[in-house]
Amino acid sequence: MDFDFPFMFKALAAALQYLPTTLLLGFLPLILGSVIGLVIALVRFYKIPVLSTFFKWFVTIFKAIPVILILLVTYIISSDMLDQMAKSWSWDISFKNIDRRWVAIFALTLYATSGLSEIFRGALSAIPKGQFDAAYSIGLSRAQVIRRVVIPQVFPIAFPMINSTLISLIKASSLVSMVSVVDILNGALIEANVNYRFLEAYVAASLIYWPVCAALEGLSSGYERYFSRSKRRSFA
Amino acid sequence: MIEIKNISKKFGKNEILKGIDLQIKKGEVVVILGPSGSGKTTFLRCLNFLEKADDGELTINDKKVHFKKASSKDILELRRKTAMVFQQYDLFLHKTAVENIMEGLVIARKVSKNKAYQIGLELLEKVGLKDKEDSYPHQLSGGQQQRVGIARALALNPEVILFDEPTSALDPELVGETLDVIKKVAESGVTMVIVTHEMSFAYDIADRIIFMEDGVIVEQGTPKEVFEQTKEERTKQFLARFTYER
Repeated sequence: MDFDFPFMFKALAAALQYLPTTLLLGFLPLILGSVIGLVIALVRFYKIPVLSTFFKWFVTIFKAIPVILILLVTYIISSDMLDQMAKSWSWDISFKNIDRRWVAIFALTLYATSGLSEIFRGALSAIPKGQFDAAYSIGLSRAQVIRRVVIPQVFPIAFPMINSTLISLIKASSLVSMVSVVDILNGALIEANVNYRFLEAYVAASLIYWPVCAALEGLSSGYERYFSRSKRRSFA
Repeated sequence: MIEIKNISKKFGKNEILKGIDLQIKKGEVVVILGPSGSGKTTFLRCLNFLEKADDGELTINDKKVHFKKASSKDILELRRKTAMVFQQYDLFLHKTAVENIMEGLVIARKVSKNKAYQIGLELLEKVGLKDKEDSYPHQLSGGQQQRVGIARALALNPEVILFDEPTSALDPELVGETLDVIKKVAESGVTMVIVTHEMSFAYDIADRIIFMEDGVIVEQGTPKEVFEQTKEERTKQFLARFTYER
C-alpha cells in the first residue's frame, strides 16, 4: 500500500482553512450551552416546580440521543419548517440561502446543553452546604447568593469537565459534513474527491484535530495542577 | 429584646424542638448546653431561618413573625437583624478575609465599598488578624478562620449573634484564642446566644445558662445556679464530668 505524502500535505493545507469553522462549531455551542445549562442546573438545584420536571425530561432525552441524530433531525425539521414559515409569512428567505453552520451550531448546542447542565448540577452539589448557610446568614437574598457565592464557586469546580465538553464538541463537529457544512474533515475530503485518496485525507484531518485537542487537554491539566495547589484544597 | 414563643420543629416524625419559649434581654449572653441531638443547633438555625420552624413566633425588637406565615421578605428582614458564627467557620472560600467581612455590608446592607473596607480592617484588628486582610480561608488556621467568622458577624452590627459550637472543630491549642475573642465581644455588650461544649468558658461568659435535652429546656439560671445549685437530676448527670474536672 502506498501513501501519498505530498497529497496528504495538500489535503492538510486545504483542511486547515476550515479550522476557524471547526473552532466556531466547538466554542459557540460551548458558550451557549454553558449559559443555558447553568440556568437548567440552577432550576433543578432549587427544585423550581414544573420547570424543574420539564428540564429533567429535556436533559434525559437529549443525553440519550447520538449527536448525529440530533444533527440530522434538526436539519430536516428546520429545512421543512423554515420554508413553510417563510411561505406563510411571505418572508423573502429560503433554507437554501441560510448558512448551514447555524443549523449545526443549534444542534450541537442542544447536545452541549444537556451535558453541561449535568456538569453544573454536579458542581452545584459539590459546593459545601455551609457556603449557602453563611451567605443567607449575612442577609443575602437567593439571587444574591447565586450571583455572589454560587457562580464564582461553581466554575472552578466545573472547569475540567467544561473543558472536556469542549474537546467532545470539537470532535463531534466532524459530523457536520452530514448536513453539508464544510469543516476540517469535510475540507480534507473535498480534496480527496478528485483522486480518491481518502486515507491521506483522513490522516490530514486527524493531524489537525490532534494538536488542537491535545492543547486544550494540556490547558485543563495545567489548570488542575494550579488549582489543586492553591484554592482547590479549601473546596474539598 | 428578643422573644421566642413556642418554637417547634420536626424532621419527618422526629420531633427536634418541642415548643421552646425564651426571652433574651439586650446585651445578655445566653449559653445553651446539652447533649448531642438535644436540638441546640436546630434551635439556633431556626432563629436565623436556616431551618424553617414548623410553629411558634419570633420577635426581634418590634418585628414579630409567625414561623408558619413568614414571607420571604419577613425572613430576609429578620435575618438581617441576626448573624451567625458556624461550627465549620464557613467563610466564603473564594474571598479574602477582609472581603468576607465586607460581603454582607456591601451586598445586603448597601454600605459603600470604602466604608465597608474600613469596617473590615477595624474588625480584623479587633480579632487580632490585622495582617491577614488579604489571606484566603485556606491560608488561615482554623482558629484564625473562626475569628474572621466572628468579625464577619460583628460587621453587620446585628441585634444578636448566634454561635453554633464555635470551637468544636478546632484543635485544643486554637480554642483559647477563639474563646478570648468571643469574651471580648461579649464584654462590649453584644447580645449573644452561644451553643458550646466548653463548660468553663460557659461558666465565665454566660449571664444565663440553659440546659436543653430532647427539644425542651430542662433547667435555666445564672451559671452559679445551674452549675452549683443544680435542681434537675438530668442536669446533674450532664454536668458531673465537668464538676469532677473542677
